[in-house]
Amino acid sequence: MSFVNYQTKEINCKVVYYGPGLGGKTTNVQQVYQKTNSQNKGNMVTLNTENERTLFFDFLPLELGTIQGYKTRFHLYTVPGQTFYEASRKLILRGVDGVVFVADSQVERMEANIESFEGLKKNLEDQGHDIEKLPIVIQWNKRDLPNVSSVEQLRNKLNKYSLPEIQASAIGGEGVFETLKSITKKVLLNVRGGLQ
Amino acid sequence: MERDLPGILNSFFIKTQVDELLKQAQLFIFRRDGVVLYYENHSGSGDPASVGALMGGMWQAAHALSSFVPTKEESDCYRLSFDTSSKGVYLLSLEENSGLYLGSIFHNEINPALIKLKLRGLTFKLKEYLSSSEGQVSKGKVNDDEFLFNKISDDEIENMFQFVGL
Repeated sequence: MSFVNYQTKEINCKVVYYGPGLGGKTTNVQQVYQKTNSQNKGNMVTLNTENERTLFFDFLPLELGTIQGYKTRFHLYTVPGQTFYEASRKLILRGVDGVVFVADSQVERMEANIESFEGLKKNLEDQGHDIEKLPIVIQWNKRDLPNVSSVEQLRNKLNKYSLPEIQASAIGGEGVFETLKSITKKVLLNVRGGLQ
Repeated sequence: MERDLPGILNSFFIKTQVDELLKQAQLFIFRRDGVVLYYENHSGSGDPASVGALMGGMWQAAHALSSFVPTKEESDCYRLSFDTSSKGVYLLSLEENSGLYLGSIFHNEINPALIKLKLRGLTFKLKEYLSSSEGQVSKGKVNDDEFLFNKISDDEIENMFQFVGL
């Protein structure tokens, strides 16, 4: 749940990058890290296995600019994508303010995308979130690869809730910031605690 | 009405004489989701946001593991320790229900058990303070049924990102 400090006029929000294994969640966050001024970012924390797969989470604190007088701090997390780490994914989703679902566009990963999205839906519901109310953006990643499903096919299988979609090739940086801007706007518009 | 926790915690540390031993350690008070509400970094390095995220993750993982402990008592109050004979990390729950924790990173300690004892004492004082009237100061007239922002334009979002995406 977002945290608003009214005295210092600061907002803290938590965004989780979710999706199937090897879909590009960590690559998204690494791209954000690499292309951000050093004074606007903290250390990127990665908890990996020996072969560079996410074990628990990646974490990147970002200080974005001000919005209507409020300083904004976004904490970006990724979940481990491998099926084995379901318990960790549940923990990382706690207190989430927005989700970026990073789908792998490759034809052979369609089932993995569907399984991961169903897992996301269940984990959010278990924590009392309504998937239709929580800010979620879908990123169709790896659009640069040759054997990809069409966006229409992906949409039909994965985007039953008409969530905002962004095409990306995270490894080259395309679509990474568009995705982040999209989820940032949705999350901020969902922050509660209006001053009376 | 929600409490003004950063303000309350600041007041506590202004009013309370913290043990000299604890002044050599890094202290963090963080929420379950890793957001740091208060910190004192006397000796170490590392940014508080990263420390908060790791401490929040550590506690949550350990708490999930504790569900496999076959016995459970109402009064169970877990502590989490990762240390050597001279340095380490120690986490304590302040308010399990509202998800508030005290974390400490210490090093060069001749007697880590003593610093843990002092930290438990500090936690006890903090718990008392948080449950007192001084610990219930609210954020003011805030309505959690309403959104903070009614409208945000695309230009405002672009402005927020002017220092990133280089």
